[in-house]
Amino acid sequence: MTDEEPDPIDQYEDSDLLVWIVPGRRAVVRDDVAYERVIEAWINRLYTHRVRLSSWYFPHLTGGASDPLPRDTVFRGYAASMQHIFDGIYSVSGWHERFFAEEESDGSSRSRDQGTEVPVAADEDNTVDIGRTFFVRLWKGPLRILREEAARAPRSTVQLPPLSLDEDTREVVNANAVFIMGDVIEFPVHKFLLACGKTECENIVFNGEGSFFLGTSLKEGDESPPTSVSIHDNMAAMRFQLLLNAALGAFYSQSPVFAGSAASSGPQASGSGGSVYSRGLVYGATLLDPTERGPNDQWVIFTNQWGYRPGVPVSAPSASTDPVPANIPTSGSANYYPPTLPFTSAWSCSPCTLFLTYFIFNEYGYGSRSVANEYSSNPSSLPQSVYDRYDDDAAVQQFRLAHDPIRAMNVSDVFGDVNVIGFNIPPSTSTGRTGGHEIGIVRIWPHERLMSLRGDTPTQGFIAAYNPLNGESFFTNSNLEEHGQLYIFEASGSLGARSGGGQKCGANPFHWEVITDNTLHVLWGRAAHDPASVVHRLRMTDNPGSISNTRPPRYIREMFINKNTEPVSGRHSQDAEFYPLVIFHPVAGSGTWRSSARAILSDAGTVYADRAVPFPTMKEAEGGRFPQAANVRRYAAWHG
Amino acid sequence: MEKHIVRKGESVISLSKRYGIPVDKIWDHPDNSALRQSGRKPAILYEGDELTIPDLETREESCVTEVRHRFRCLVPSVQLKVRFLQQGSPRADEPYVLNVDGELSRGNLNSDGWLQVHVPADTRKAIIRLGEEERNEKYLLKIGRLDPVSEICGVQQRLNNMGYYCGGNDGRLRGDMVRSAVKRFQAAYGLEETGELDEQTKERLSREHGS
Repeated sequence: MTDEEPDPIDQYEDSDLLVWIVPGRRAVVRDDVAYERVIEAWINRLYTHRVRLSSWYFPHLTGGASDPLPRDTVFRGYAASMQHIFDGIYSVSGWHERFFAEEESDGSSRSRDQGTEVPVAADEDNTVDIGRTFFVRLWKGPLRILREEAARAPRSTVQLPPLSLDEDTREVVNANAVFIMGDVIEFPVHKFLLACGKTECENIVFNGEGSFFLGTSLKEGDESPPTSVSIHDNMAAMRFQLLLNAALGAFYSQSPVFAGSAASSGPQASGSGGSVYSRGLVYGATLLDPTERGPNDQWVIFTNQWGYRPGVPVSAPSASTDPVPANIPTSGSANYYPPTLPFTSAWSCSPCTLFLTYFIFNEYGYGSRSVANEYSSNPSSLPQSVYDRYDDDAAVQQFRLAHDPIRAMNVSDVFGDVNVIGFNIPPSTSTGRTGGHEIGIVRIWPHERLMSLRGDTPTQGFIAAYNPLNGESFFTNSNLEEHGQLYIFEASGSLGARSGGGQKCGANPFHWEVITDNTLHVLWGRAAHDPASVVHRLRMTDNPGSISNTRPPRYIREMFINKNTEPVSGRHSQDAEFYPLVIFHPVAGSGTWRSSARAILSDAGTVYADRAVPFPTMKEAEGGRFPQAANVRRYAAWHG
Repeated sequence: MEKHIVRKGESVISLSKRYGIPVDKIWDHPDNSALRQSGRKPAILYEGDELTIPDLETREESCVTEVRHRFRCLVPSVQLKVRFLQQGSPRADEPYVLNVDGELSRGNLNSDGWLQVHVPADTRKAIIRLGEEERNEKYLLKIGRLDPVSEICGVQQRLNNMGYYCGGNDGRLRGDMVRSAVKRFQAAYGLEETGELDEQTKERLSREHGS
C-alpha cells in the first residue's frame, strides 16, 4: 500500500494558546495546552519561518542588483538551504507522529499510556533506537508553582497534570504532559538544526541549570551559552521581561492580595483552574550591580523595607526610640489593608530608570545604591509638608503653573487616575532630595518582529513584553506594528490618591500602562534632570500618534529605545551579564544593611532554572521577613 | 490443506500455534516455496501473503486401560530479542519492566542493551517501560507486526525503530518524510545520500535493524 497522503506539515496548526516570545524557539502558555499541540504548533512555526531560518542558519548567495549572480547559482543555493530546513522539519514531524502515536484502533480510548508503537519480529533481532528526541524544556509558570505549592500541603486535593522532567535537562519527557497558563516552553532548536545537518550543534544540550532570562538556556560542555553556533534569541526582551516580572509578579499568590477592586483582577486559567494574583514590589530599594561584588556577585534589588534605615526594625517598632523612618506610608494608607498583610518592599521611582539602563543594557556607572544613599543621609525623603502640597488637585495645578508655564492640564488627562501626580518637582531640585520622580516611556514591539530581521542570526533583539501571570502579549495594537507601542514604565508604589490623610500604598505599586494609540499628552517629571534618563527625545517621526502640545516635549524622554543597537553584547563577554537578579532583604537591627542582608529565596540559581517568574511566591515572601500592616500603621500613627 | 491469507500481524509462528502445526511444517511446505524465495521469513510475512497450511497430522498412541497416562503438550514460545539504543549507543544495564498480558517482569537490559525473553508464541503485544518510572518512557512492542523490507511500510517500520523518524508505519507516504529519513540513514551508514530506496539501502537497513 503506497497511498499518498497530504504532507503532514500542512496539517499542523499554530496554537493561539501559545505566545511566541522568541518565534520558533520559545513560547509562553496562555491556557492549558497538550504537549502534542505544542509540538504541532512548533512545526507550524518552523515551516512558516522556513525562509528566514534558512537564511540565518544556512546562508546562501542571493546576488545583488549591481553584481547579480547567475540565476542557476542563486537557485541551487536557495534550494540546498531550504532542503536543510525541510530535513529538520520532517525529522521533528516524524518524531511527533511516533511520540504521540495512538494505537490502531478498536474504537477504544487513546492508548498513549501504552507508549510508542514498535513493530518487531519474533525470534529475530530487532533494534529500537530512541534516536533524536525533540523534548521541550520547561520553566514553570506562576500558576504551576502555586499549585505545586498547594499540592504539598497536608490533605491537599490539588491535582496537577502529569509532568515528567529529565533531571539533567528539565526536558518534558512524558507525552501526556499538559502545559498551563504562564509556563514558558523552550523548543530544542539546537536539535532541529542538527537534524537539518548543522553539525556544529552536535554537543549542544539544554542547560538544566540555566535561564532564558540570562541567555543560559543552552550549554555546550561547560560553556553556556554555546559559542560554536549562535541561535536566534531576543535577549533585550528577555531582560526587560525579567524586570517586568519582578514588578508585576514578584510575589504571586492564588489568593487575592488586596481588598477592593484590585482583588478581582487576577488572571484566570480556564483549564487547570484558579486565578493568579500578584503583588509587585512596593517601595524603597536600590540596585546593586555585580561589578561591585555584592553578595554572591549578583544583580540585586536591595530592599529598604518600609521605613527602613540601619538598625531600625519595622517589625518591632518603638514609639520612643525610633527616628522618623524614611518612606513610611501614612496611617490612612496603612489602614487600607488587612492588619496581617505583609508589606513587602523593593524598588522605588529613582531606580526605575536605572534598572532599565543597568540591567538591560549593561551600562555601569550611575545610580548604584542611589536610594540607599538617599535614605541614609536625609531625615526624610518625602516630607509630609511637601506631600500635602500635592494632595489637592487645585494646588497641584497651581504649583505646576508656577513652575512650568508651558502647559496647564488636568492631571487625569495625562495619566488618568494614577500615581504620579504628587511628584512633579521644580526643575531646580535635584532628584532624590525632595521627592524627585522618574518615569520611563518604553516602546515595545511585537515579538514576531525578530523574524523580519535580515542578516546575521539575531541574538540581541529589541524590547518586547508579555504578562508573566497569564502569558498575554502586551503588544495589543496591530496597527502599530511598524511603529511599536508605547507604555509607561513607572516604579512608584505609594503615590496614589490620598484620602483622609494617607497614601494609598501598594495598590498600584508598579505602573505599567499602555499609552493608547501612542497618543502622547504632556508628561512631566524629573527625568530631564537625571543624567541616567536623559537619552533621546521622543522621535516624533516614528510616532504615529499625536502630542497635545506643539512645543518640543522637553520633558518627554523615550528612554533606551534606539540608544544602543547592541544592548547586550554578542558573546556575553562579561561574567556579570549572567548573574541573576535577586531580591535581597536587610534583616533590620543588626548592623549595616549589606552585611545583614539575606536573599528572600536562598538559592537564586535554582529558582531561575525552575521558574518562569524567578521570584518568591507570596507564601515564600511572608515567612516573617516583612513587617505586617499592623506594624506599619503604628509607625504611621506615630510619625504622620 | 488450507490456504491462509495472511492478515496484519500474523506470522508463521503465530499461525503455528493457531493451527497446532509446527512452524517448520508450515514454512517448509512445498506450496510455500514462493514465499520463501521472495525473502519472507517465518517471522516476517506481509498482509495478503498466501500461505499453505498443511493438514493437521494425527498420531496414534497405544495405551493400556485402567492406568493413568501422562501426555505432554509443548506450548510453543518465541524469543523476543530487542536491542535498545540511544543514538547508536547501547542502553546498557538500564532497568525495565515488561508487561506481557498483564504479567509483569522486571530486569535490566544486558551490557549491550539487549532484552531477550521468551514469550508465548501467540503473544501479540508487550509493553516495556525503560529507565526510572518517572521518565515514563514506554514502548508498545507489537510482536509479529514487522513487515518485509521490500514494502514501504517495512521500510518505515525499520527507519522509525532505528530513530530515523519518517512518520507512521502504515505505508502511506507523507510528503518527503521517508525520503528525508532515508537520506539521514544513508548519511549515518556511509551510503550515497540519494534518498532513494535502492536495494543496497534496503539490505543495509534490514541488516542494521537485525531483521
